Formats: sequence, structure tokens, C-alpha cells
Amino acid sequence: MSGTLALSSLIASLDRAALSQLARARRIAAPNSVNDPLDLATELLKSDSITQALTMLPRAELLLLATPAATADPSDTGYVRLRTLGLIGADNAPLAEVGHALETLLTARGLSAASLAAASNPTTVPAEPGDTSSWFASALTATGQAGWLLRDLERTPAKLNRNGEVAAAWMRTAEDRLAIPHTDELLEVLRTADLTRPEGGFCVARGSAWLTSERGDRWAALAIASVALMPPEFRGGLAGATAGSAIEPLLSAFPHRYPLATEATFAAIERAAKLWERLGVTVGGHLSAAGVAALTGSAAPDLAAHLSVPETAPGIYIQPDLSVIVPGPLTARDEAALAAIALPEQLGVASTLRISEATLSDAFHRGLTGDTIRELIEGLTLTGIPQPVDYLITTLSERAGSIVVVPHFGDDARTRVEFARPELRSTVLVDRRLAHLQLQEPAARGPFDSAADRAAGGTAARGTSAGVTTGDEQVRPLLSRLRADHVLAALLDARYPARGGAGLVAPGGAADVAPCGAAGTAVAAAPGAAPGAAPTEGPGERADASVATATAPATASASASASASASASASASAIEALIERVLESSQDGPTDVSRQVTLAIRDRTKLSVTVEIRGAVRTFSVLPVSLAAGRLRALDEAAGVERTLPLDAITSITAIAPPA
Amino acid sequence: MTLGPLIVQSDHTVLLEVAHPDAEDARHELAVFAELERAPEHIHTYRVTRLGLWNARAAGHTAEEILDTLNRHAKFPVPSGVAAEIADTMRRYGRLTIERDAEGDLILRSDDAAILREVSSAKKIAPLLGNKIDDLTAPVEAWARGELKQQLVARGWPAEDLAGYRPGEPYDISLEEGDWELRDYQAKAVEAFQRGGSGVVVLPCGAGKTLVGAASMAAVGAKTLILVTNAVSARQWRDELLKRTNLTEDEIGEYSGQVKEVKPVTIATYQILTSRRKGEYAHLSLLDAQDWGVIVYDEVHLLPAPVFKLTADLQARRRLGLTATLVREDGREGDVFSLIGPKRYDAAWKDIEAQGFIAPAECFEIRIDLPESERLEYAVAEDQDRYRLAASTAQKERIARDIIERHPGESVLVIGQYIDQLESMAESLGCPLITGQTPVDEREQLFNAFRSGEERILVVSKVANFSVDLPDASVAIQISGSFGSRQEEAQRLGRLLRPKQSDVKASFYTLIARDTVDQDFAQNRQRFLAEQGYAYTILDAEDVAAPRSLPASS
Repeated sequence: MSGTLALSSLIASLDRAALSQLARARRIAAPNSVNDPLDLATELLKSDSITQALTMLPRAELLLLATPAATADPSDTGYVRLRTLGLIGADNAPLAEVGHALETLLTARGLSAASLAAASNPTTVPAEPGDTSSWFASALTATGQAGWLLRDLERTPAKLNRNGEVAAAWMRTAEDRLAIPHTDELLEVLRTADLTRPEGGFCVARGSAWLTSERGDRWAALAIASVALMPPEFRGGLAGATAGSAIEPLLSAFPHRYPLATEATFAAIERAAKLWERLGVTVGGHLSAAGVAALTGSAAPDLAAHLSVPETAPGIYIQPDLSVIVPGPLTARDEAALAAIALPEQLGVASTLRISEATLSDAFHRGLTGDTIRELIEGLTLTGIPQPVDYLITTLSERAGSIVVVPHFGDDARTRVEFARPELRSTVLVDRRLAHLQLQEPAARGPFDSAADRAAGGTAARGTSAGVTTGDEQVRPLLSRLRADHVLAALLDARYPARGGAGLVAPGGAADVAPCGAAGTAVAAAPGAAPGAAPTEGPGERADASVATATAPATASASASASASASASASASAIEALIERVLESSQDGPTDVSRQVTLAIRDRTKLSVTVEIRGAVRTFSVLPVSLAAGRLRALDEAAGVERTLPLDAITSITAIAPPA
Repeated sequence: MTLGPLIVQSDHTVLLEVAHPDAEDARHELAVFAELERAPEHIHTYRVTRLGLWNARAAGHTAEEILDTLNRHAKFPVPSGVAAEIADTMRRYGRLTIERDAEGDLILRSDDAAILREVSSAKKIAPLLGNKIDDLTAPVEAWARGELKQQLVARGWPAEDLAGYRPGEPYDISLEEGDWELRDYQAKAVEAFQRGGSGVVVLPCGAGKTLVGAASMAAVGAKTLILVTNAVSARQWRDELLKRTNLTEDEIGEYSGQVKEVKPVTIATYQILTSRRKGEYAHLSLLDAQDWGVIVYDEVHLLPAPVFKLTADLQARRRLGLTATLVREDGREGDVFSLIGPKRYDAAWKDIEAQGFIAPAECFEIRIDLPESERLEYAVAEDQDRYRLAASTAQKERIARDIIERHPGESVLVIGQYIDQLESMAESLGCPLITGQTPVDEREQLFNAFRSGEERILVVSKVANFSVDLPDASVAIQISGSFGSRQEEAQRLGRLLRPKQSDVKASFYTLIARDTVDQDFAQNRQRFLAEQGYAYTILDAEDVAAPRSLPASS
């Protein structure tokens, strides 16, 4: 016998909060097709949905399902939870579909109702409280790493793959460039903390405010997100944990407590536990005091206060070998300033970074000047500016922008390369390393003569290349059919003093080659990356601006990955809508009575039917037999008669549960 | 937290704040188990490596001592992963020992049956051992002592070699100290070698490694085989031994391409030892020609691979490695550890410089713009030709002349990679050229002329990189190099670091073609020098003409 009607009755009796809890706890494959309690019950009794719900149940609740008691106390917390999850009907009525799925799962795991009942709790030896005093080292390291990653995302949004995840190639590049291991873990926590979002096929940063907040606040946001990433079944077991408590006993006991838990749940626990360790929520598997606070839902400012040690470093050391030593945590402002001119080699409580020609070139490309860089360093350093660093700043400021690369919006090319000196042009033109750019002389009419170019930005491009003698007949620009970011990367790689004009920024780092995603996925200017950078715009707009002629397959690919990554938020809003529709239909009384009756006939389910005929309200317990011409024909076994009831007179239908 | 001078990072580097009041104490304790990687002005970087920890363990230090050092001097808590790994790594050393049983046969002994089981079942180790004697002991094939040590290091279970050494045939060697005496650090190095029996002494160029070798030979008092990089170096060893010990010319033999003498003290080149005839090592008999009591490996970081193989068979003899750096460009530091022995002593360049035993040096990088014609030639060149084109720019001749004019009266070495460029440079400067083709006698003649001041400028190829004692060179101009080799940079700078007779500061110039691959390679070398703590200045070629930009010359 189907449990659809029984569950539908339960759903119809739920208030908004309970319905919302149910809808969010269960997997609903097609939320948009659910209009009333019957639809929802049908969805919830699908095999996938039941399996998902059962795997989240602890042993005791599975036992309740596996061995339903005839006289169960409905107020028993186990039953309350099972009702909340829609795994039993009203009055604890067992649902056939659930029973069947449970039996299948237990068999698959080599379990049975008897073994569920027989297994005793594993004895766990309480672990000694651990020393977690060094938790802040992990907290600062991970927070610093997350900051660098987010800044990198601000500058170069990461391409998403078809699954909506950040492409592995981007992560590898970031790991190498920023010396940050396992960026996938940090990206997950950044996403959960709402510091990144998928947009136009890219993962983009939305953490400007977070980046400017102080370390404690930054850590608090990440810690809260890492707690949210831990499956609630596991988190629940940590209620009452104190600083120094080990999580290992809970990890060991988890398979016993949740005998149907899936590999995915174990993997999620493992991932979250790693993150906890990385963020200092735990140290060597023991909860830190700050970790406990995060776990118990302390407010962010209270959490942030935990990270008040060690003291902020008074400044940094810049050495003649171009290494930068940061002997302790910096303020957010100083950290951002340093990030504008150096790349990390090792991040920790104290960090090692390196200034290079590439990082300084990058700073120039993003609009900093020699004076601002010097000012910035002088504001940070405890030791003055070493001569080799000063030399680099001077020479680069003199030479930066001798070649300007701008997107070109004509039919004949996508990129225009402008030169300050004729000898640079002649060298670039013959350089073997740049042959693949297919740089060519502009057509005789000149690159600025096309109406499209004038309309689309040729004038603006000229405006941005101040100091470069663009348009000068003696130093005519060169054109390329390749994307501007690609051309810029190639020029920088070949050590030419090039910079991007019209908002184009060196991809990744100055000397880095452009990310090689699918065609047409240009990475362009980042929002507010540095003082003097180009005006900000959304990634979608950026793609429009920098890639004039993106290819169709690339667009399709971007759309696919965008839709995948957007599915999570779409799903949340679909559930909201579902709740509204079900509530509305419940308030209107039984809807679609004929569907309920048809189901009951098919399943031979006894019904309690309330009818109102000419002002008289009567309730019958009947076994429906058939439905025709708007009338229900049913056997009233108690009265020993067959009744025919008009559907439009029925005001309520409830399934009668068979005796347990 | 003690707010000490050390910051221990999770990548196993340790930063030392030089200006901290406790920095000196921390540095001395740190040097026991960590390798100095960079020593620029303010913060020195050390690295804790497995070999470093095993070196410390071999010297009798424990993990507890090392962790105590770190905890006592650390500003922030030592990352738990680092502490755990130090303890684990240290625990591994000496769990296996190579000993001799009552019959004098080699055995491998462990204090843990599981460890012996693990290593003896390894594919590359099993053939080196016989059938187990018991759970804790296995016989070692007589020929396999060296290879076994290599393999055990590779598997992370370095064995302590307690099998002892053949004493060798006694021979009276003594130092003849009169107008000179061993420096304190040299004596300590000899003492450390004697205590350990075999191992490596790391001292900067010019710090007197040859004397450490001579004193070690005297301490052992047995017939000695000295292996060196080339014939010139062999003769310099001979001269030094004649000058500093009681040995006479009749007692010192040279075994090289030119001469083949076997005497109580024999100096052979790596090249002759590894030369083959019909696929066989033709001069292998040298190793057993005498009952050597000690074998000295000069410039051990350059030990060629075949010599490693031969050295594996010489584990019964005392071995002394001498080097300025344990860094090997081929990454075979582990082989030096297992076959020559652990590091027994080292002293930082800057320490010895501070004591006045080697000259301080300033490094200058001069960046040169390629003229238009050369720039175009460079742009169209194939990748493999680019470095040669950039490094050999004719501009460098003019700049070298300008630099030489800035150092009147000083002895100058012009060092390069490409013979064409060197020939042109020598012609342009009107001075002699020494390359690999220059006969040994002529080379020695020129070196002597350079020492006496008869020749003030020498243009040399990479033959002068190693073991050439040029005490009066105070200026070196590097016009091209081996693609950014750190080792080469150390050696070339070493030419200037011999004790100087005057107070002239040594100057080391590197000429670089701007925005070319020459600059890329120079970055490696520049970084290495700055990391070693030398003053480093980058200048444009035009600045060479500007008097204020260059160092005050004598």
C-alpha cells in the first residue's frame, strides 16, 4: 500500500515552519512541479529522496523505522524527528516506500533490524585535552592565504568548469604563483562565506569589505563558514565540547552512530575536519577555544576577539636580494599595500615574499607610479629601500608603457600594439618569439579610420595611452588577430616593456602567460585592483569589452558552466516557491480530490472521508472501489453498505493507517 | 611566546633576525642542524633538512636538544608539523648500524626487527644483504658497504657506520708551523674530522681548506690519496704541502694526464680516475696502489658520478671531503652524505670575513643596452643562440675597459664562458688569455706572473673557476657565465676572497645585456650573492663613466 496519502495528510497539517524544515531537509528532485501536499508527498516518496533522508538518520531512529511499535508514543523525540523528515505519516503511520527503501539499504550494508538493535555503542576512551595554544598560527596562515587568493580572484576571475567548479588549471597556477597549497579547500570556504560567487562562467571575488577588515574579523568569517561545511550530523555530536576536546572519538564513533551514512558524508566530514585544522578551529584534532566559540555560534565580533595575538608587526624587512620578510601579522591596509608589489613565497604568522621585476611591472601596469611604490615601501619598511629594489623601480618607471597593448574593434584585428620608440617597433616586428602573434602593419587607411573602431573606443584607447606617440606617422601601431591579453602576456614574457591600455591588465602576474581556457574566455581588468586601475565593471561586461568576437562554442561553454554554478541559488528559491504553493493549497482545503481518490483505489487504502451534503457533515471510513461521473463508490465495511459520494461534497480526505 | 630571534615556518625554513640581541646565540645553535640558505642584511634564512638533522644526529645531538633550541629562541610557536618531523627524522638515524662481527665480517644491525624487515625487503637493498642472522641482524656483502649506506639514506633510514677504518700504512706527516699557525676554525675542523673519522668540512673559498686537508693528513699520520679537480689544482696542492708540512718533493706524487707517479702522498685528478679504456676504468688500480690511510676529496661538491661509484668501494678508508658549498647542481647531496660522510664542520663566509681571514667583497651588476643592430640580431635568433648573442655583445669590451680604468694598480680577472669573446676581450685589453687549451706549464707561468704583479690583467675561461690560488686579484669582471650556476658564482667570487695584502675591498662585476636571457640567468646569480650577504648594486652602463657611482678605488 502506498504511503502517499498518509504523507500528504501529514504535510497538509504542517505549519509554515515545519513545512519549510521538511522541504529543506529532504531532496526534492522537481520542486517546480509541486503544487500541493499530494505532489510533495509523491516527490518525497521517490526512492532517491528517501535514501538521502535515511542516510542522515542515527541508529536509534533507524531502529524506530525498522521496528514500528503498535503503541508508539507520538511525542517520543525520535518519532517527532521522523515526522519532521516526512519518513512516517501522521500518528506515526509507517510508509511502505520508506520501509522498503530501508530494508534495501540495510541489506546492502549487511545489516538488519535485529543487528541495528543488537549493536552496542563502541567504547571510546576520552582523549586527553590537547594543547591548542598555537591555534592562532594556523588561523593566521589560512586567513592570510585566503586573502591572497581572494585578491588574485579580484584581479583574475577564475574560469569555472562545466560542473561549476573552479578549473583545476587556475588552481594549479594560483598554487604555484602564490605558494598556497590546496587552494580547493580555501575556495570552498570562501564560497561558503559568500566571498566569491559564480558569474558569467567565472568565479569572481565579492570580498572587498572582507579584505579591508582586520584579521580577527576575516578569520571569524572563514571559521563560521568552515563550521557550516561540516555535516550537521557530526556537528551535533560536538554539543557540549570544550576547548581541548578531541574530535577523534566522534570521528571513530560516527559510522556506528550513523550506520547508513554514505561515502559522500564521510568525505564531507573529512574535508571539513581538514579545514578546521587549517583554520585553527582544531589543533591536532583538538578543538581550540576559538573553535568551540565558532561551533557554538558565537557572534562574529566575539570570535574575532580571539585572534588578538600576536601583536601586529611594526613593519617589514626588504632586503637586497629582493626578499621581503614580514615578521608578524600586518594590518589589513599594510597587507594590501604589500600585495601590490610582491608575491608570497611562504605565508604564515611571519611570511616571506619576493619583489621582482615582474611584480613591480605588474604594479605599474595596474596604475601605480614609481613615486607611489616608493611611498608605499617607505611606509612599510623598517630598513629603507635597498639599492637593487630602488634601481628596479627607477628603471621600470622610466620604461613601463613604452609599448601599449589595447583591444581593437575593427574588422581586421582584435588587438592594437602602440610604440613609444620606433626601434622597439622594428624589434617586435621581427622577434621570433612573437611570430605567433602575427603582428602586421595596419591597412593603409589606418586603424582609426573605421567607423566601428571610432564608435567602440578607438578614441578612448588613444586617450589611455598617454605618453605614447600613438597616431604618430613615424611610429605606426601594429595589429594582431589574437586577443589583447594574449598579446600582452607574450610581449611581457619576451621582456618587452609593455602594459595594457584601455583597462587591459597583465593576466595573473606580469610575466605570466595568459590562462589557457577555452577560446574566447579573456581575462581582463579586475574590479578596483589597484589605485589608478581602470574603472570597474562586472565580469560579463568585461568579457564583452575585452573580447569583441568571442566564439560561439566558448559562449555555450560559459553558459553551461554558469548555469551549473547558479543552480544552487536557483534551487533555494525553487524551494521557497514550493513552500508557498503547498501552504496555499492546504489552506484552500483538499484540492484535486479525484487524484487522492484514484491513488486510494489503486493502493486499496482505506480513507476517512468527510462530506457535507445539504448542511449536514458526516464522516465515513470507507474502502474506495471506483470513481466515475464525479462520484466515489466505496465500501463502508462498518455499516456493511456500499456508498456513493459526490466528489464536490467531500471536504476532507485522510488515509487510515493500517494497524502496525 | 618568548619573542626570540627565530621564526620557524611550516616549510621548514627558519628566519633569524640578525639585529636581535640573542641572534648570535641562536645562530650558533641553529648551525648545528640547519643549513644557511640566505644571509642578506637583516634576516637570514636557514632550512631544516633531513640531511642537516642527520648530520646533527651524527654529531651526537638529539631531537630534544634541537626542539629546545627552536622553542627557546622562537618568536612564535614552532609549527607542530615541523616539530613532529624533526623528531621523526632524528629518530631514524642510527636505528641501523653497520658493524663488524667477531670474525670481522660486516653486519647490519637494528634495534627494531620491523625496521630491519622493512629495509631488507626493499628491492635495491635485498641483494646487498645475506640471509638474516636473527631478527635484528643481517650480514652485509663485503663489497656493499657504500651502496648499502646510499640505499638506506634514500629510504630514510641512514645507518651509522661503526665498522671502523683500515688504519692504512703509517707515514710521518707533520705541519711545519713557524711563521704561521692553523687558524682557530681550521683546527676545529680538523678536530671534528678526527672525531668523526670521515666526513665533509665546509669552508668558504680562500679560508684555507688545503691547510685543513694537510692538518688532517698529519693527524691521521698515514699514506694519503688526494683527489682534485684538475692538474693545476694538483700542483697547487703539492706546493702548499711542500710549504706547510715536512713532506718533500720525493714523497709527493702527481697522478694526472701528464704525470703518473704513485708516492706516499699522491695527488690525482678526478678526470684520470674516471677515464676509461675499452669500457674499463684504466686507473682504478691507483685506489689500491698503496694502503691509503685517508682519502681527501677536494671540491667534493664537484665529485663526478663515477667517483661516487668508486668511492662506494672505499668505505673502509677514512675520507675527508673539502668544499665551499654542499649545494650540488645535480642534487646529489645525499650521496655525499652517505659515501663521504656527514658534514663535520662548517663556517659561514661572513664569519670568516669578519675575522679578517678573507677579503670583503662588493658585487656590481652592470646592465648594458644592446645596440639596435645587435638587438635585431637577438630578436631573430633561435632560442639556443640567444644567450651566446646577448652574453657576447661587443659592448662589454668597452664597459670592461672603463671598469679596469676605475681600478688603477689593482689586479683584475676577466672571466667568461665563450672562447671567441674571451679572445676578442684579451686582444682588446692587450692582456694574456688562459683557456682549457693553454698548456699547464704556460698556465702556471701566467699565474705566477699575475701573482708577482708582472701581469695585472688576466682573461680566463672557466678553467680558473676551481682551485686556482690568485691571492692578489681584487677585481673580477664576469662577462659571461654558465647559465646562472650558483656554484660557479660562488667559485668565481672565491677568486677574490683570498686574504688581501692591502685594505682594498674586492669588487666583483657582472656585465649583463638588458632585457635578454642574459639578464634572466644573471638573476639567479645575483640572488645567490645577495643571499650570501654581499653588498649588491645594480647600475646602468652609463653609470660606469660617472665617478660617484662606482666604489672608491685605492
